[in-house]
Amino acid sequence: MDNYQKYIRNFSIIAHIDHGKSTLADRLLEMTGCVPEREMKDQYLDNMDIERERGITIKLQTSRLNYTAKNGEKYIFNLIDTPGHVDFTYEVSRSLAACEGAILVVDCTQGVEAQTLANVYLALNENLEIMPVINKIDLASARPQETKDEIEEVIGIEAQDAPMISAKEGINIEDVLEAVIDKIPAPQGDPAAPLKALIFDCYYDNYKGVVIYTRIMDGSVKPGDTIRMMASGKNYEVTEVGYHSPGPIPAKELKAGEVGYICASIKQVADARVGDTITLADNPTAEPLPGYKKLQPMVYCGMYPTGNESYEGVKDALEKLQVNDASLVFEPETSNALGYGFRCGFLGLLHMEIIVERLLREFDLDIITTSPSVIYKVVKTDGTVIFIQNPSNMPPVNEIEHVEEPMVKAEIILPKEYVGPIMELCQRRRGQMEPLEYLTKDRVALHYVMPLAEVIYDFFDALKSKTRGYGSLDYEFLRYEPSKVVKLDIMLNREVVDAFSMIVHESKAYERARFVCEKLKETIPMHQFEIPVQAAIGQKIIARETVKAYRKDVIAKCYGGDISRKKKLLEKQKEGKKRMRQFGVVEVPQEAFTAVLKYDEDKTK
Amino acid sequence: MRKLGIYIHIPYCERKCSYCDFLSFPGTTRESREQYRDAVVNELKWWAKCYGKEKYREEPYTVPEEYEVDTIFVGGGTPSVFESWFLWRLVLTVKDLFNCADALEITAEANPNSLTVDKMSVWGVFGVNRLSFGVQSFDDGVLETLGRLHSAAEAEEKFRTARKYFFKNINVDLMFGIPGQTLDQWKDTLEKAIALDPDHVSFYSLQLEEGTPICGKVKAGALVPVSDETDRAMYRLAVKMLKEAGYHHYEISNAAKPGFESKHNLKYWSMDEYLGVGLGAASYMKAAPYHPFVAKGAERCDCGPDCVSCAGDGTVRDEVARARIARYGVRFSNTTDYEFYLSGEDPVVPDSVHVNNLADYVSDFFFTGLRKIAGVRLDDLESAVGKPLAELKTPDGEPVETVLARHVSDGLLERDGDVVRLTEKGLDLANTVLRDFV
Repeated sequence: MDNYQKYIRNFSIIAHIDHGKSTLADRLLEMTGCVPEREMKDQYLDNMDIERERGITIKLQTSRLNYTAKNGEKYIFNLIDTPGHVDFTYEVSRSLAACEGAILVVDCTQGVEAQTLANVYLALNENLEIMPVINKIDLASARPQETKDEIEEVIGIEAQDAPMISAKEGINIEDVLEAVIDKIPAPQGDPAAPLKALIFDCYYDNYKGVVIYTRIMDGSVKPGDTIRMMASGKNYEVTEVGYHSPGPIPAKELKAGEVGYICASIKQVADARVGDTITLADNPTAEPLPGYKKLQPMVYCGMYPTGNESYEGVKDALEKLQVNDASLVFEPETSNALGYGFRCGFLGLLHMEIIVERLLREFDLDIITTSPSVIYKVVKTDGTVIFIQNPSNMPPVNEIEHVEEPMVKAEIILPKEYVGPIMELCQRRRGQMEPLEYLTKDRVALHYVMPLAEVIYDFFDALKSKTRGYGSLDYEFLRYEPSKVVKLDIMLNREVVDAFSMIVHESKAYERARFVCEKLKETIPMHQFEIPVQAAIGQKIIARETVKAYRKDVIAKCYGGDISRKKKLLEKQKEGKKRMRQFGVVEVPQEAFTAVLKYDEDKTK
Repeated sequence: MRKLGIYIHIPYCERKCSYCDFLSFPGTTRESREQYRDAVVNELKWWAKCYGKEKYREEPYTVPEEYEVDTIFVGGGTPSVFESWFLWRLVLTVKDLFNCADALEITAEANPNSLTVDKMSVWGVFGVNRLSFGVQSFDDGVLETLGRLHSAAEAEEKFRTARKYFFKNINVDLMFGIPGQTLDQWKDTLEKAIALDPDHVSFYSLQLEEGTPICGKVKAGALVPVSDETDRAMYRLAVKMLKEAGYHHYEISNAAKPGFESKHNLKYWSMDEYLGVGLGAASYMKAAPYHPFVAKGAERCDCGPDCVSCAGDGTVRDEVARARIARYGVRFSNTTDYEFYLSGEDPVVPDSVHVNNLADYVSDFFFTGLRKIAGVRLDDLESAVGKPLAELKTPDGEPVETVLARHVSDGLLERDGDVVRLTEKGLDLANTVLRDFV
């Protein structure tokens, strides 16, 4: 029993998107009898619809697999899934910190790609043992040997005896399981030491409260213990421990080296922060685990119920989502144009999109979102400093001494043939270039100091499309820097509609103003009168369009057979009008709000 | 005696015009047209059990009210494509089965190319006394855009013949706002039309209907639509020229020499009763027989818990359904399935039935009535529904008074005591007003 840790392997699977990570995970679950085949949905671990649709993992899934090896010994594998988007880099790093090793899946029709590298670096940062697996060997264009050589050259790890598999066809999956035993080290925690456990994820369960995913580093924990969250300092009594396989299975205790879950009647996920260390209240460990960060929202936007939705309904939904997503923050906000709503903070644009989509799908809510914004630091002429994440709160120009915007340090790893276009892209996004670095003869790391506002605005998508998916991005907050940003107001019929206001860099203001005016002209239907659509900085109008007044809105023919048909036509038009927002005398359809957000800088060029 | 208009639909054409989305088929056989004639005769016989002469009435279909047909309108499609003897048979059937007024207005629509002199003479013999002539334009280029099969000269020649030998009352249909058409071209067409001295002129702004060839060409950029400004200039020009020539502008798109307004069409705009027979034809009646179709309409009725026709439990109470129909009327329309209609299996299973409620009546009253230039009389509405105006609401629940006041103040309506009508601006933007009533 003493050497139980010898039979545990804790690992993640890392891969470039589409290289077969989720498919391999499915096969491992299937091979170890964890999920009966008939219950397998494609890609079991990605269990949110949005995840399966977008082919990305947002919420982590963890599973314990029981495997009887060829040597006859029984092993416990803990497979810890990782999310796959730059918005969630921190979560990835905490998941990896819960492991001793990582399976690196490489598609041998594609070879090593940028995201592969980015993930490898993350894993190496956590001192993980990397175990390469060559996937898709069943395809005609498979180049397994070249891929192995490439792994050795580019990443610098031994790859000649890497398992060669087809996750899709289920070929050689057993080799992977055997290699996990051989290559990935067993955990070496001290079961006798005070409890030291890492929170790497959590979710909210209606009956159990917060369910914490944890890796026990040292010590042990069992129901009845009083645990303490070292960062928040809060104590809780453990009600249940266990592991997922993949459904939750209660256990008597969790001990050093094991991965499992802890329930302790915790009311909200914000009290169980990813990266925090759990210890026992009456026998605490001396030092918490390294690497804890409190996640700060990077992007904010306003969310408002549309005509038919209630404020309370949106609030309820946000609260429910927040229970499960500690990185989502929101507070009440009022807009002259949109009424009562919320200002919400997100890790990034993808995170924001996901939340909006979940509100739509899971809660069936119809909401309007305003332009996303970062937090600006405003130094006023009287010396006070305020932080602004809602453009409407920007003080008048004469009260502003200067404005600073958040800058990030961005690292972009990409094949060298894409360096030109990406440098151009970064320059357009106001990036300040720092020395670039050749990782291999074909791979380059670009380093930029860039405004966060530019990074959140579809930069990742632009990067992906310009590098055909080969580019990867990582960024972290660096500092605030003085910046010539201005507040751009949009006026409909000469009245400012605060919901459309945005803060933009001076150099982009004209272009952006033109874009918004054009979009509004396209989406606002004709009225009985002309509507000027203007964009202004302060008092100065910098762009203008006109929504023309309609001159004709009449049914020419209406005889016996037309009456019901034409009435229906007008009823339909009327339904459309009901969904519009009224700003003064101007009716603005919902699409207008989405349309102005869809600003693709690189397409307008 | 209650007055009844009968509409007979002839779903045939030589060719579909490029703007047409009506129910009509080119290239049918004589045999199938003959079957169609028989199916319409059958349908008329069925309706005669309800509304016909005493001797044709039959329990349980008959209604207490007595009816007299005072207008027959043969429309399409293109009735002039239909064999004139077949048409004769249909008109004779109506005259035989139903009480008919002495001053029976019988209109038939015709196209210049298919209306031969032979057909004119037959039509004249069996009593067509109003010809509706689809001229559309006196510009050959415009006619080509519209996909018409006749030339301007042909239309003019046919008109003269029809006028000289056969018809005292002729309507000319014209269209404007056609892609490529200029204001001058339209003026020329109006001048030529007026020179022919028709008794009635319909002038329609082209409506681009989804799925028609002309709409497709506009979307593809092959045709440039006229601007709303030009369209309205054309409309105003037509109104002005026709008025100057002595015509009375009496509906949004219609003008007539005094006394020559279409009696049949006015029914559509005055909540009067009409019975549509033939494929896809629509009806509005204020008395209906007990028949599965009433049940169908009542079941579909979604007027809420106060519904008088469905007793709130899905069952139909014939007497309440009848009572509601007597007050607010019922709208129904025939199947649009040609083969099914021809089979004559059940000539009167309508495709859709809607038993009006109070809000529907209010809605229809304004939706149709405001098309008349003279407008509507509010006391007509009050006496029809038996309630004072102050209690009447639109289907949205907005008081009618409020809606009227709003559009008086935005200049789209004018109210003169009991009369409400569209203003000149309102004629261009009628839908803005009508949307509030649907």
